[in-house]
Amino acid sequence: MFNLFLAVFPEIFIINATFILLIHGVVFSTSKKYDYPPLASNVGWLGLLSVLITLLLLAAGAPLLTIAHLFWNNLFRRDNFTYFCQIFLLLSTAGTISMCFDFFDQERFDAFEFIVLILLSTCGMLFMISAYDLIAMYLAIELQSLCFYVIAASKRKSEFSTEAGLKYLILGAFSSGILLFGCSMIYGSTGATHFDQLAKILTGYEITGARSSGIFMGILFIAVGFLFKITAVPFHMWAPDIYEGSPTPVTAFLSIAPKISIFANILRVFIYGSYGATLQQIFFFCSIASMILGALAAMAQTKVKRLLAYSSIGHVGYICIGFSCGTIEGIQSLLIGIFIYALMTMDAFAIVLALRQTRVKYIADLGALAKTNPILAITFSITMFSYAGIPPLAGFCSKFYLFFAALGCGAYFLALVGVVTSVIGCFYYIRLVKRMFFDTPRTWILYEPMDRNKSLLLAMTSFFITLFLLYPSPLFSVTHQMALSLYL
Amino acid sequence: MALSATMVGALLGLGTQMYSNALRKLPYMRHPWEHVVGMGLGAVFANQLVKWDVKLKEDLEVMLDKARAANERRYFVTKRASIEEESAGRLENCFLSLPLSLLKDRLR
Repeated sequence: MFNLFLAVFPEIFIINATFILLIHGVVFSTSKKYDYPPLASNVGWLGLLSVLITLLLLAAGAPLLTIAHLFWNNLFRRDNFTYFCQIFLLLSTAGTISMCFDFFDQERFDAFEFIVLILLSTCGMLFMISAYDLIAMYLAIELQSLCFYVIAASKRKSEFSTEAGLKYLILGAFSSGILLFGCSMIYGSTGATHFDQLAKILTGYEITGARSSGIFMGILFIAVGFLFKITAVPFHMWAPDIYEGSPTPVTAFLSIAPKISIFANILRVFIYGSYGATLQQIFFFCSIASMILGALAAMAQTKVKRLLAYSSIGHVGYICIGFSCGTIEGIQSLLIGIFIYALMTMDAFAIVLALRQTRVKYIADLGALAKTNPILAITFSITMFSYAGIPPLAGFCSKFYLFFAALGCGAYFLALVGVVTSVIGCFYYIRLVKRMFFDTPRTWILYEPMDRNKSLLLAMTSFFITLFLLYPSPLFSVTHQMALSLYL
Repeated sequence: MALSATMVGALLGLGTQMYSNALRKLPYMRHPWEHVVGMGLGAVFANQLVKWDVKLKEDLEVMLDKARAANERRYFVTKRASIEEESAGRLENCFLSLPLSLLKDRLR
């Protein structure tokens, strides 16, 4: 028996927690009695607790086996796919927040609103994953995006952060406008915004001869809007500048969380709602271009954060291979790819944050890290090898499955480009390893101890990356279920 | 099965805590009670993961059976019906139809 209140209780809880934390922050940070305390860490810990409680509430709701439920005037859907995507999103958010605490102390970052906005954007992403209507989807995307524009500019004393926030606002608003235009064209041509109705109208529309330029342009604009938000080529221009200019925890959050929710939306809208040759060709092209540009542009980078930004562009290309296939195996490989990518990225940014304390900004500053902190250097090496797709690490498994899905549906060129760009990508990943182990830095940097949160997060993610291949069965089963529940 | 999962989980938990200490450049066994907590959490996690994996496989089988049944209903039953109709139509149209129909009448 479907209980609406229990189904939406996680979202209700996190919204209420966000507002309570906002009021708490405003009241106590402006309190003369408590001498205007900095509340970033305090609100951070409470925010982390809220995310974990939301995760428990979500996990405690029984997974809906083979039964999907629509609620709130059929605007939202709860099924296996939604359930596991939301759990994954909340785990990523918790991991990202746990990386921030030392950053608040080191950088004397006083804005508690940072955590409030992260929670609000997480709420938007939870709604985005369960959205089953174009209007609900767009509103949830805007709730998420508006929070991101602000947190990108949260370091008010930094020109780079302000520039990043402004660029993100302008370009993000532009892409949201294109997305909305696409939605309006679809509505104008079909009279429908609900995904079930769109599926009935749009499935096979290219074959049956019911083609309409309105439908075609609408799908194209929606695809462009989504591709912009996942930083796929040729809509990737904003990513390196914004990733570099934003504070590092924001960059970590931007690299991980929105990709989970946007890919979930893409699967709902395109795989279920409308999938045709044109869309497949668009994603084929964007996937190939992202892989090639991600591999080639990253070779020229000298800064660590920009290199990770181009690396994430390349990985989006690999993940889009799964979407381009249009098969259950493709979707499954996409979900496996996102999961492993998120964990690798959390690992990488936790290391970058640990090194930021010692003012490591350029790749050249990594020199002799193996001498000052050998375990951290080994952890970074493992992460880089996993990014490169070297067996037996988790990154190899995700690329392996993606390329096999491409071969299974006959996309041989896509798999070939993927393999070649992986090999090219090895160059700049292994270059980092070479710097750490064999080069001397320009100036010797003293090591500063890492905090416990980051060390535990690094330990857990490193163990996952290293040992995943020994027991991949749970992830394979859960992603298979998620892929099937998109259709059943 | 439970014993091996418990042992692997405990080892993982212990390893995680030791790795965490190593990253912070602390002695590996500093605060040993944290290692005990890690082993306990690791054992619980591993056991739950194994149970969850078994449940996932069962649920996946149910979903795949449902999908297979839906496909059979959609394609095989329809195909069987259309094959029968086709063969009936073929019989009526072939040159043997007249003698066959006469035979059927005779047997009736």
